[in-house]
Amino acid sequence: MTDRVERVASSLLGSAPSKTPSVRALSSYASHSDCATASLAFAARADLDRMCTGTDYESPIGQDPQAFQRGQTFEAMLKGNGYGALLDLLREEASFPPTAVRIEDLRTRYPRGTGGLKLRARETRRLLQAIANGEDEAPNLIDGAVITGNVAGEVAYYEADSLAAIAGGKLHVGEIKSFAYTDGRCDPEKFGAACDQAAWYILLCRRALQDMGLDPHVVSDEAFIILPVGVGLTPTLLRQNIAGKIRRAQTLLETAPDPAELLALHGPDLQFPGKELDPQARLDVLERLLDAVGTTYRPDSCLRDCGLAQLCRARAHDRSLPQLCGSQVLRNLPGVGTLGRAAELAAGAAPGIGEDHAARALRQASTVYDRVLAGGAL
Amino acid sequence: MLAARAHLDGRALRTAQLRHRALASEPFGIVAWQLGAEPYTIAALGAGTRAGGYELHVPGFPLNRDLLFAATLVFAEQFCTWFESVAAGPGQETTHFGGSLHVPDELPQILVANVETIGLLGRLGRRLAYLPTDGDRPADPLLPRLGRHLMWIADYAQTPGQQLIVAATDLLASHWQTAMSTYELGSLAALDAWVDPPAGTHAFHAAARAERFPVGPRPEHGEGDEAQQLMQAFNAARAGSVDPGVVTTLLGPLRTFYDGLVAGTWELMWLAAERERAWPEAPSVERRAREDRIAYAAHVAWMDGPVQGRRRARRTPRAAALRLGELEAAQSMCVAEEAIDDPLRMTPVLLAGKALAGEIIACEADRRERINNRNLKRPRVTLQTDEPCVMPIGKGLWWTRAAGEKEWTVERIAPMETGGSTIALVLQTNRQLSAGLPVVGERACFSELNTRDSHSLYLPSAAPWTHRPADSSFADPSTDIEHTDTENEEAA
Repeated sequence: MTDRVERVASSLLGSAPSKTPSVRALSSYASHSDCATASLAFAARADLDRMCTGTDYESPIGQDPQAFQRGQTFEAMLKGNGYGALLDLLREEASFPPTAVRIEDLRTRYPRGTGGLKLRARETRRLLQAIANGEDEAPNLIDGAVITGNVAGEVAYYEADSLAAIAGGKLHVGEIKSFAYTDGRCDPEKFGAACDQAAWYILLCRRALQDMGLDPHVVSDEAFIILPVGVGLTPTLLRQNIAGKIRRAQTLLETAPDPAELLALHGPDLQFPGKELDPQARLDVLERLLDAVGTTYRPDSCLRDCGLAQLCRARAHDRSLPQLCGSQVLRNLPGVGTLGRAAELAAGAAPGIGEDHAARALRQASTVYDRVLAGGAL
Repeated sequence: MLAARAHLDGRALRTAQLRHRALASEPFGIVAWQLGAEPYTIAALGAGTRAGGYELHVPGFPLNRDLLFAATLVFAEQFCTWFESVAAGPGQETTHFGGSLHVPDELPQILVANVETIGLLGRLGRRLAYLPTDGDRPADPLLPRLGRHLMWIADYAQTPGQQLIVAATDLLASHWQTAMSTYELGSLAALDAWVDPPAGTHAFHAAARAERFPVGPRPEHGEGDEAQQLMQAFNAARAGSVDPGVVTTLLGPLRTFYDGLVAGTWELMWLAAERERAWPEAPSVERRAREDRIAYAAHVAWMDGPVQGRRRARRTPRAAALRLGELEAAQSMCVAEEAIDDPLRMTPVLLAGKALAGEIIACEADRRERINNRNLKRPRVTLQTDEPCVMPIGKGLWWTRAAGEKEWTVERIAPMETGGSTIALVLQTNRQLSAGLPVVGERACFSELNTRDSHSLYLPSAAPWTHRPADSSFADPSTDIEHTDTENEEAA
């Protein structure tokens, strides 16, 4: 990021709540990369989840304390006793060496904060180099790696909450999740999200290796997803080839709009609302920003994990946008700008340019529906 | 079109003129709350009938097996007594897989708030179903019995059109069109607000307010924070004790907290169900309710059989294929029956060009044609539709009043100046249809949908190599998942 863009990003963020770059945040942003506001927030490191706090549009986003505790307990159990349970699992499922395991725990070795992140990034780089060169002293397990990544024009330190385990000469990314695996099945949505995160981690590792002039394919396409089995917290390891997800992540990165360009385009006149503003003032600033930058509201994805979703939904309602009803309705209304217009076309209004196809279908649907309601028969 | 109209009208619109799900005279309601992301525990459970109100079951600290099982046992007594008593009621004897089966007249129906509750009950059932009733820590035999009931119910809930367990969200979403997305339809409170918004308020605003109302089972509206504080206080007060005498007196604050949550959902769930009850029931509901009663009777017989209701936790590839075939057949039948019963349900089929409807302008009941050198009777009707017909010549269609009998084929189509079509259809049998023939001057509907039996699936007894799992853990006979619970107990 150039100094000028850095300055613009900083001015854009102002005193608004910010977010530390992480693989999880990157994975989450990937599903909103077509939204200009999300891209801008990503570039300025603004935390959209906290923008609407205290307003009518505050989203109930965040982890339940019990769910958080379950995740913490499972991870602590795996890493306790010198990573004993984790090593047993890796030996059993991933042909880990029975002895002479070298573990690099970067998370506890370095202090928290930006300074610690920089030190961890430097150490991660050194360790990746050692692994790629096949050095004898290369570690078998890295916990808390930090990768310096250039994502969509932004250079940042990406903290991975996953592991890197070396098995069979290859580096595998391991994601620890606490949702249950029972009878050979688990929640497919959560499993997919875990694989997505692992894919971003793999991509960042490969890019880091490439930058150092080393072979990126030292990092395997196969991720290790570590889950508890059944009722308790006994771990199991699922090996999943996620080459397709890595390719998707790569494509997303290449095609995502460059946030630096967005910053340069919108920067000087805009700012995310500061934490100190009262809720209504914050909303006013946000509305101005959304008007200027624009959004891409998709309820089925935005309402799950974007803090602005409820505000965007209310704006979509006020503008009568078909997006309000989800992708299926949107697909059925090609060329129709608003739900109000769709209702007009259904009532027999003359179609405008590009509305012919939808107008015919709407008119026909309306006629049949009204006929059934009036006469009770088709 | 309906979504746009709903947005404009500010309230949901009906997508059916009838009610396509049975509602028993007194269903058994269950409202459940889980603890955070703990998949196999319940933090609170309210169960009972509308008239009798709900009985609240709160374990206190559900990560503790003893506390969880103690509360679940009380629920098991309540549920199993009600669920099994229906099987013993008056009914009819029928033949089922070569044996005799007593099918009760009453449908033992369970009403829950949403599909997630069914999932939670299924997971709780999975946990309990294979508990050992002997050994070091024997479970009360009623717990595995409850587990096997719940596991079966959750599995049966996947059958399209079933009415044994009804989720209020499904009931509303399948009968009303809102301007909400699929994701938002999961909220019972928001759906209810769309169906019946306060006077003068657009349903969008009513739903946006209503969806902040916690319905469960996942604590998604911040109620987990308070639950955790109360639970920590409870744990500190009981000091590791699981003695019912000690625990019961300390449960007060947690019970009050969950009572408030359960009561809200309980009211909302019954409100939705009772409002739908006012709509006339579709004729085909009775057939599906009978299927449900037969399935229920077979399940109870299996429970009372030598294996005491044990079922495979993991289906073999063959069983999975057969089950998939059953679900697909049930789905086709349900879609067909609903559309045949209800012109509003047929509307999307018509608009998709898979049906035609219009006025009969000619009926040649005695028409004959030469087939294999025989002069056979093949009645022909001609109808005029308001919509253009885009079907190919020769396509087979079923008259909605005889959808389980022989099909009609499209013989010719002539477009009309008004935009509609004149279509001639020939019946493919010389036998009299049970409903007779369409009458000139009446409106009739012919569609691709029919209620004839679907094809039977014949599969080899041994799965071919393509369907054998490479993962040997598939064959793991261990089905008791409770043995993995040691860490949770330690955490407790």
